[in-house]
Amino acid sequence: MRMPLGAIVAAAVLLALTLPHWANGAQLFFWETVLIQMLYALSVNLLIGHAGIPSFGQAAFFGIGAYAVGLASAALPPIVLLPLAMVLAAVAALAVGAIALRTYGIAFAMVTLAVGQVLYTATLHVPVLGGENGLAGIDRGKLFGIALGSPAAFWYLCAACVGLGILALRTVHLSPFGYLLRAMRDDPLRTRFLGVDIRAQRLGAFVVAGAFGGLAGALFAYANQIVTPDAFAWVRSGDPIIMALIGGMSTFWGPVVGALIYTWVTHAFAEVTPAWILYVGMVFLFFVVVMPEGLLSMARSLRERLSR
Amino acid sequence: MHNVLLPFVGGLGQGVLLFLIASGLTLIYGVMRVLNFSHGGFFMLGAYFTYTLARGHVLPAPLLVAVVVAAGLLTALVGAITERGVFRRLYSLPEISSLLATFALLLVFEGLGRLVWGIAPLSQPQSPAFLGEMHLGPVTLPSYDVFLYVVGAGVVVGLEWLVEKTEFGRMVRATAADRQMAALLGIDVERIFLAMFSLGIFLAGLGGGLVSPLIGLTPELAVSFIIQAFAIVIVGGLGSVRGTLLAAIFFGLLNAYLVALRPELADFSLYIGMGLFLIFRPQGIMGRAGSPGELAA
Amino acid sequence: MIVRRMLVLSALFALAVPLAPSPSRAQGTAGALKIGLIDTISGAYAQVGTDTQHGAQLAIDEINAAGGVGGRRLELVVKDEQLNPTATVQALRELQSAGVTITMGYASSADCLAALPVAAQNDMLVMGSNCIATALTTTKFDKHFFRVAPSDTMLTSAAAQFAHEHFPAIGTWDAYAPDYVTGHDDWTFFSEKLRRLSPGVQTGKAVFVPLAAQDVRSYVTALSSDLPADSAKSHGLYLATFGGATAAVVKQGKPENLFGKFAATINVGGSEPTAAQLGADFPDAWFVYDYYHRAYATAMNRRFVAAYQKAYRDAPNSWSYEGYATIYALRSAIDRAKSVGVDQIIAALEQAPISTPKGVLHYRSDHELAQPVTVFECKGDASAPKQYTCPHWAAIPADKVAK
Repeated sequence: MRMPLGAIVAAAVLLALTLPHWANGAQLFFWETVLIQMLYALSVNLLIGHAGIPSFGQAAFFGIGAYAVGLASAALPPIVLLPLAMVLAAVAALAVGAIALRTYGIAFAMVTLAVGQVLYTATLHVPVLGGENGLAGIDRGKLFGIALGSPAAFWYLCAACVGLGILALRTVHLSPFGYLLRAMRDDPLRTRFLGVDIRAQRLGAFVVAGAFGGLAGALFAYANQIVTPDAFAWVRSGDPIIMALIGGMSTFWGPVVGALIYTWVTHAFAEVTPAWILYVGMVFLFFVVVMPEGLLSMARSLRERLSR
Repeated sequence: MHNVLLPFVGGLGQGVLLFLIASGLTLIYGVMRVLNFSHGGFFMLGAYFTYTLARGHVLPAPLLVAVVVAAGLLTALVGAITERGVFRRLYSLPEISSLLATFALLLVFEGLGRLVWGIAPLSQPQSPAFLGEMHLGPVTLPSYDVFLYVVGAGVVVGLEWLVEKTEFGRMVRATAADRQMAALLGIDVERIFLAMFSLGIFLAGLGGGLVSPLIGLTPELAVSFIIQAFAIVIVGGLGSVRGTLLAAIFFGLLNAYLVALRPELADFSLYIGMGLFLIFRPQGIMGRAGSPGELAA
Repeated sequence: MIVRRMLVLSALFALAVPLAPSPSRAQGTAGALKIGLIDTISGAYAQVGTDTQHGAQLAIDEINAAGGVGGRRLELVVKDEQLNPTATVQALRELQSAGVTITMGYASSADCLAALPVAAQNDMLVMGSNCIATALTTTKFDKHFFRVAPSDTMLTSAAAQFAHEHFPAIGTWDAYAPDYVTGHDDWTFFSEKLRRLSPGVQTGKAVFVPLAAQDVRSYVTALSSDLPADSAKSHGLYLATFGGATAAVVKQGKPENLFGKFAATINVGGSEPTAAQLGADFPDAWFVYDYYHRAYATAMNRRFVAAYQKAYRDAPNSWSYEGYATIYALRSAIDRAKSVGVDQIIAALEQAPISTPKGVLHYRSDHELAQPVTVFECKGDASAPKQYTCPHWAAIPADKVAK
């Protein structure tokens, strides 16, 4: 793959650093949403695209991260709470994964879906979690003495967290563990015969994905300053899969591109018509039918064909 | 009526309704290996077609039944067009891509429903004959439930007969088992797919039509049953009509008994039930164990 | 290589710039005072936002025809909140970036709650036209929020007051309510207030149904199976569902004549569109909600109803009223403040008499509008032109619903 990755990353960092100087509050918020979705979609794609683990319950960990912030934002600063949200989500992922990974394939997808939906239903009923209206008025607090209430300050925090998250996931992707996951996806039997404890490796992937799903949820709660039961809803598990598919599941950067396209398409159509869902559906359909492997995979194979 | 029997009757009715909604889903998967998320969209169309054909009027029972069947056929026609336009391109895709495509279709149907039937929710009234109750010994049954039992039994028997006993069914089974081999043997696989897809969508439309006198109609109906339907066909064992029936009745009864005895748990029943069941039997009630995925797990 | 890098870089920037949401849409007539309507105009509750918009637009047209506010025309900028807090915050920030400081609408309480921090940080006004969560004027109070709809405490309080005054013969009230925190809390509040008013009244069985449930027959059975034989004389039903949940219980309760087993049904939070949807199937029930067009005899209400009929060929419902009343509340405040600054409007709203079709009202110190709650009886009637009629109505006065 011959992508000028360094240049793109440099441009992205430059963009992130300068954005508050030329973008207004609405644009900053939009890009915060995009960044959070990117991280979230990457965490899901680590499972589905690279490890071949068809999770349909990532919202469980997104929601745990989000509700952790919702519950504790008044007591703890983000510098403590963001890592804490990750740890909580990872612990939850460890517990869920240890049981759910006894299954495989579509059954695994449904077991993880069940976990997310049980948590969703529970939030509606638990007064401490605010019931159907959720936890509102989340305090962004301060970081190194700078109040994060200001859009620019929060933008930098959000961009830094997502940037570090992507860096970490990229490191995982390129590590021996990452290669092992892809080997398990492509040929689980042979990998097993090599003496690899497949379930333990999958559990590891599930925990890492859960942790970054939790980070995405925590940032989401800070950005919106409210968290509602929708953070746990099945749609929230499905969205990042759509993003990863649009961008290309077999690539690392596919979900990043997919998250951008997904968020923008939805927002752009909702701006112009109440029937936006119709047009969003048509765009998604177009993507799958024309580029079933996703945008980046398609670009890659095009380039390979051209350079041959 | 005895308090132990009451939830049984209610749960059975609920289960049969779920079966009717989910049966087409498992049928389509069994033959074409496509998990059709847009099933809910067709279900919603069936409900709205019923409303439009009946023009929202109270109809005598036979006429309402005729209207529901007609709505199912109309839905099947939409399904056939969709199969030719969209689904044929999906059969060769990985399962997850076709899942997204059918999810996108679901959104399209929901949006179309909004454009065609407007923003105000609608309602198709029930036939007076279906509002009564029937007494069988100590048991009182709502007459519409009895009607649904009959339809449900008819669907099970009809599908079994079609697939197991007819020449067409042999071709369907051959296609489902190995579509390349079936094509080599001279079976017109494309026509089998079209026929079975339309049949599955007919069942979705029929389910929508049968539910329409029981609920309010909004385009969001497209998503309101879909997770339940997926849970049922997967617990039943994907592709198995009998398994779907058993799972649907199981969840109907589980919900009804929890509502009666432990109502605070009822809302969780589907998910907890599904999760626990699949952990111990991932292949579902009627599924076969021993897939490569399991060996590697 | 360098050329290619430059190309990629510029392509990235070219992509990024137009992708950012542009606020330019909000710019319109020069000098017009823009009011942002953030409401749900798509999805299952699209009717809420659409009717609110109709009412607000009617009020704006009337005010503009009479010369505007302080010489300025009013203009509505509509944003779809999609019943989604992220979309709400995005919409609010877009309005803020476009210089719009006055907002209204908000179909759900979560959306009102989501709007508050942004509004407080940017000194914007949030007029809660539709959202009813009591927390907005109590634990989550913020001076930038003013509610136009009655709170759920006020609605439930009115229901208890009405049950006490209108149905003294009913000894037991049973409940069928949505199964989430507020559904439980409201039922508790109703029971406590009713027992305070009529110490002899009892609460019977409470059935809580998941709001998303479509097949509710088991819940119907759970509600009706323990009723005594004479329940049609002695039991009342507190029904707290709305929308699709009400449609399901009405239609699925029909075979066993569920509503006929109660002497009276009080539907808190339901309103006319549900009767319109169900037509002849709708049982005899008392809605407890913001507004019914025949319940108020003020001159302003007569004008409103006539103008609304003319514009939209239908009587206004609660949501239309809320849109209309919000705009007139704003006008009352701006007229008094002689300014469109948010702080001045807030001060004026706290002081000014607010002219609405319900009469001249005042905001309380918690920014709750002290107002009557409307109770109206509707029932299905196959012979009526709209398949239902609403023969009786009452307004429960503000001082009776405050607690």
